[in-house]
Amino acid sequence: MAKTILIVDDSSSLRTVVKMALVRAGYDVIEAGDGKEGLKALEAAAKVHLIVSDVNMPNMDGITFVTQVKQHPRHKFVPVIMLTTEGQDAKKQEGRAAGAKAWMVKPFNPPQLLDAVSKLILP
Amino acid sequence: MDKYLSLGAMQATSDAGAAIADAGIPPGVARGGAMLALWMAAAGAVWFDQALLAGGCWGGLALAAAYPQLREWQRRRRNRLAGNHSASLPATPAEATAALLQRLDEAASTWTTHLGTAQTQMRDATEQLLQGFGEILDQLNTIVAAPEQAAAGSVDARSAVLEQCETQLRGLIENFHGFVRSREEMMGSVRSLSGASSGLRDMAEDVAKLARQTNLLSINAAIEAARAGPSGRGFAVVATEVRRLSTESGETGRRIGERVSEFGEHMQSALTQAAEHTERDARVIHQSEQTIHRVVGHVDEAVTELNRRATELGERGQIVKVQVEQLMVAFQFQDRVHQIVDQVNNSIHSAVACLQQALPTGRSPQADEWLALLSAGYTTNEQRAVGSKVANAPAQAAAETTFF
Repeated sequence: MAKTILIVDDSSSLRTVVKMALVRAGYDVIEAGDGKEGLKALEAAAKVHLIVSDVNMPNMDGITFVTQVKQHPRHKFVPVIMLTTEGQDAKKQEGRAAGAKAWMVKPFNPPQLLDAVSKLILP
Repeated sequence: MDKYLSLGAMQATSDAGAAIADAGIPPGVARGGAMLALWMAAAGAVWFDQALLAGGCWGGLALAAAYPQLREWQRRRRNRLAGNHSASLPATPAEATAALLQRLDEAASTWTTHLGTAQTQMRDATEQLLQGFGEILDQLNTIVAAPEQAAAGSVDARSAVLEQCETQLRGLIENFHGFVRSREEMMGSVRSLSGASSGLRDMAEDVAKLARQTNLLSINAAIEAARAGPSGRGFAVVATEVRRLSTESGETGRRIGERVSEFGEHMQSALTQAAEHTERDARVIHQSEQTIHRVVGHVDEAVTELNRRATELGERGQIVKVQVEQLMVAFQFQDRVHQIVDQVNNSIHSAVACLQQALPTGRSPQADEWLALLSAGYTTNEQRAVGSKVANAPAQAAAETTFF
């Protein structure tokens, strides 16, 4: 059975590109446009094996989203990859403190993303 | 004299000033020009050189004093020439500042609206392009998958089909061979019959020979009967009958021989024709086998070529597919552009708000505060490069993943 990955990004074009890479690799994908939608999608999904999240988003940014995911009893073990234009170390440390497992700066290469996904995704 | 000169000059200055004022030149400038004219008139007096020097200084000062009014006069004149009679000047500096801020606010609003429009258009266009590329990719997946599946068993499938075709066609040839063999067997029987007819001909010859000998014997018997006289008369009758019978037997033997010869000729003719047919059939069968071999070869070549083309199309389709995917990945630029434009949008609002606060106080923002305000919300390295005055910073390249 294919594993499910949640993509949280306010840019629909970027979601499309990430989805294309993940679906080609055999993953099921759920999409959300910001942190709030991401939390709702997590609640609605039966099982999410990994999250790919942007940082700068309207309504709820990625750092807040990850923080809330990590406080959730059911989803706190879901690994999170931050995929963002932000490359500053200070921001990376914020992501690490929030509970993200990896930080990837856009633009990403699909093989690079798939490599990180395969390393972190839940069994 | 000096007094009259001065009075005359002042009168001339006054007249000139009035004429300038009539021309629409503002009073301040007219006064400056009049003062300059006064001193220029004095240039003809005794103290020409000192007056010229002093007049130059006073004239310059007067023009400097009148410069703002001169600029305003120029602006009004331009407006008048342009037919803009409604332009009005603010009455006080505060009003001027308020008007300036209002214009700035209008400009900021216009700029941000345009930026928003550009963002929307770019986002919509990018989404359309991505959707289009996605559909192309789906089609390519279908096209590329078919040759891949075909190529997987193409060699085996091709050989199997060709072998089947060749077997079936060779089966037909085998049937022909069967027909030829049957005819050969039949012709063998005919040859045996032909041999038997030869024996029959010999036997007919033997019959003819026996008839001739019987005839000779009957002649001898007739002679002996004649020699015996009346007592041999009955024997002479027998001899005559024997002679008639031998003649008939000879005739029958001859006819048998003729029939057997005819039969033999027919048999020989049939054998000759059969041999010719056999030879022709063998040639036809051989040609048919060659034709079948050639046709199977052509079909094999055609199928091989079709397979090659299908494989080539599949490979090219795969290349196009990878290129389309790369193009789609390249559309990540839209996200970066969106964020940069977003930041510019916010920055314009912040800058205008800052200026709105600063202008009434007459204090410009501090350089570091201003820079911080402009760079607030930077997310990309290209933006930070501008802040750090690094010209033409390259776009962010794909970075390594940082694992925590």
